[in-house]
Amino acid sequence: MNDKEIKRALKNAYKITPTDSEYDFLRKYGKRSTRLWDILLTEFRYMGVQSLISAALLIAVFFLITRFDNLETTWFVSGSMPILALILTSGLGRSERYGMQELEGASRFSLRFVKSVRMFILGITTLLFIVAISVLLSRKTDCNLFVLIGVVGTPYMISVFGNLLITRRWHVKENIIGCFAVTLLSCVLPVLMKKAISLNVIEPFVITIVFAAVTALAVRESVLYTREREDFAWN
Amino acid sequence: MELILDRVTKQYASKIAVDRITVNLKPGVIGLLGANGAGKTTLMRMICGILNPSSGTISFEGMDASDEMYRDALGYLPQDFGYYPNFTGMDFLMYMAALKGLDKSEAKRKCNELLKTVNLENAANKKIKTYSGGMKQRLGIAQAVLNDPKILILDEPTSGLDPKERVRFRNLIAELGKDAIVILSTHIVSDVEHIADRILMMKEGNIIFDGNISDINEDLETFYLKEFGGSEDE
Repeated sequence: MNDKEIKRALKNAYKITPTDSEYDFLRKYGKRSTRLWDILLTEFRYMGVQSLISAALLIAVFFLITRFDNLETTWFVSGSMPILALILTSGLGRSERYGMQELEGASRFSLRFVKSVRMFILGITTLLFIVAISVLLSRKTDCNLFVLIGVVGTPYMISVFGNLLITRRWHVKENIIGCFAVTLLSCVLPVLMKKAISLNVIEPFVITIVFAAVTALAVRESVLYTREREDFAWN
Repeated sequence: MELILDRVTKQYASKIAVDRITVNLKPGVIGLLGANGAGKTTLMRMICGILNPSSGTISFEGMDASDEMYRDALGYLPQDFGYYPNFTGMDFLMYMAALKGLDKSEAKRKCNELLKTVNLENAANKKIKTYSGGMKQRLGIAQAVLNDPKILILDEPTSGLDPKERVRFRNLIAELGKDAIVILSTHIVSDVEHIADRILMMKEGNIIFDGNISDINEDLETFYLKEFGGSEDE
């Protein structure tokens, strides 16, 4: 018997043979009727109040800024976006921060599901916001929309990627400092770019590629983050 | 109705926290005793499906512990649990009810009923951060039984409760054990002695005793201390 066959034999030996169909099991032991939509609403309702207020204030400031008609505004908005990413990560890591992960993990909708729902709510909201603010800026500055989405969105995605990577790999106490550092660096990036390059000379194709690449990294990190971690060490 | 643990093992690097435990659990109160580091919490986390066994299986009526439907039948009170600081007692229970899949009207009814049972009726709308340790513990017990679980895992449920509350909860746990599998881990031997139908004793990741109180010819505390190498004076 080779290793593969041994593994297969062990897998079969440990295989659970269901005695009930899923329907019978639920009929006997479960009478729950919550749907995905209910969980979305629940998570939205119980989303951290401080995170929501901070995000709302930040969004209000952005919209006020877009009233000024110059290219400087775009770089300022771009440099502020990582703060929004920090708020997003802070909202996602609520379970670990407040020690709720065991209770949420043992509920019918697992911790992975809860995290995915939060990611969906916060991620979609901020992405729509990036697009909306880019459209507004493009009207004011006559810049290419793709350039603006790239310029506004790239520091945000870099910050999301960095913050999630740190949150996933480091312990709670250390990762707060790490997240602040990543956010600060992401904020500084547009300031440096502003000195080096003009918005009008950025190639839409190039910035779109850069934006797509960091978005792919952030999405990958999001998927890894939502997977349940076995971080309960032996006591 | 049977919870089957089949050669369940959990290994952390070179440390085996739970070592090939095989046991079939039927409705009733099962007292899980053991010294610190014996592997009780690891075993309970695996039964709850929040920790994957390194090998072996845990199933209830043919459903694996990692299954969503298995968790539908599960209630869990961890030893140390957190809470969102801005939640009131009622918010906390309603949130947990939503995660457990209860619909809103059923959840509201059940939360009110349980708040009354755990004597937190008057503190329902107060923020949890203003609760005392005992109140938080009572709230934890309430959330564990929200979904009328068929498997109820309680890790030190009576710690932080005053003697009167402890007796009340002992009776509540005994009542729940009539038609559910209740696994009760505690250091308070007298709690187990009074309500457990079956005793499991763990040492270094293994079950060293599995039986009824009647199988022990002496006082449970004396037996426990003997098994763990202590004396009655300790």
